[in-house]
Amino acid sequence: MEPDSSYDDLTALFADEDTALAPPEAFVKSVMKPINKPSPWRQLFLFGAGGVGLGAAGSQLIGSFNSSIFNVFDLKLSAPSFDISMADMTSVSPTVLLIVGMVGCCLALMAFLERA
Amino acid sequence: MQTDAELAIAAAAGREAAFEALVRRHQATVRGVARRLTGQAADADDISQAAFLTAWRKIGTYSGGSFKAWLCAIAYREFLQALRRKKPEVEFHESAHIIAFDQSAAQMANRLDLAQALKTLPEQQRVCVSLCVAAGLSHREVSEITEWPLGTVKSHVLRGVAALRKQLATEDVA
Repeated sequence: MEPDSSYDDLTALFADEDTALAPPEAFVKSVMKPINKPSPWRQLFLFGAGGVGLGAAGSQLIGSFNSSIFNVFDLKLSAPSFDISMADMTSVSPTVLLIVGMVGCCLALMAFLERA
Repeated sequence: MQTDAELAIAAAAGREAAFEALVRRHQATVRGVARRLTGQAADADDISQAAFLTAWRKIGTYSGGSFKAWLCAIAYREFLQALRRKKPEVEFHESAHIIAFDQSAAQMANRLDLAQALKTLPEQQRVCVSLCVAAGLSHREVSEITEWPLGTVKSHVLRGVAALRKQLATEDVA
């Protein structure tokens, strides 16, 4: 720094102006927003939930594929049963409900983490 | 309290908290410089934000010395870029300069604060006063930032300070 103090009074006036600026919190927040990386827990959770979802969907697909093959062989042996009851229709619900519930939980947690 | 250099090293290693501390520490200076260069608070905050984001991207290139001067250099370059982007608009309003001059002449009779006095200085004087007097950078640092000769910077500061004093004295008399 050069020893130039011939304008210390003006420097002090400018410094007063700077300190009287709008509160820095909003500015600091707006600067740091694009810099801050998302929480690693959020990524871990999303990948985990996605993996569980994929697993559930895969197991469902494999299950339905196996049952359709089994039904083809089954048709040769026995006549199909047509007595579909309400109990049969709701028998799939727990799995569907589980998947829907998980998706809901994921969305809720994402919204919570984004806000945080 | 950690020094700017220590925080910059930590920020270069990816520690966002260290960079946030630097932003918090220097935001008033950078915003002040940008406000004095542009003359508008809204533009100034945009330029300051862009300057800090550029600083974050290039923090690894900071090689010691005054961190404030390094930041002010980035803010000055952001100001020049913004000026270039706005240039067609300025050229379109050719009468804007004359009107502004008339307005400032009329406002001389009214209360003339420091910011308004600064606005009446020619651009090069305003840049030098903003960086040297307001931000506290040395003449040499400003010479390096603006790429103007050292003697030119000193001359602009001297004339700018004299003009400011004169205007502020007029204000006090009025």
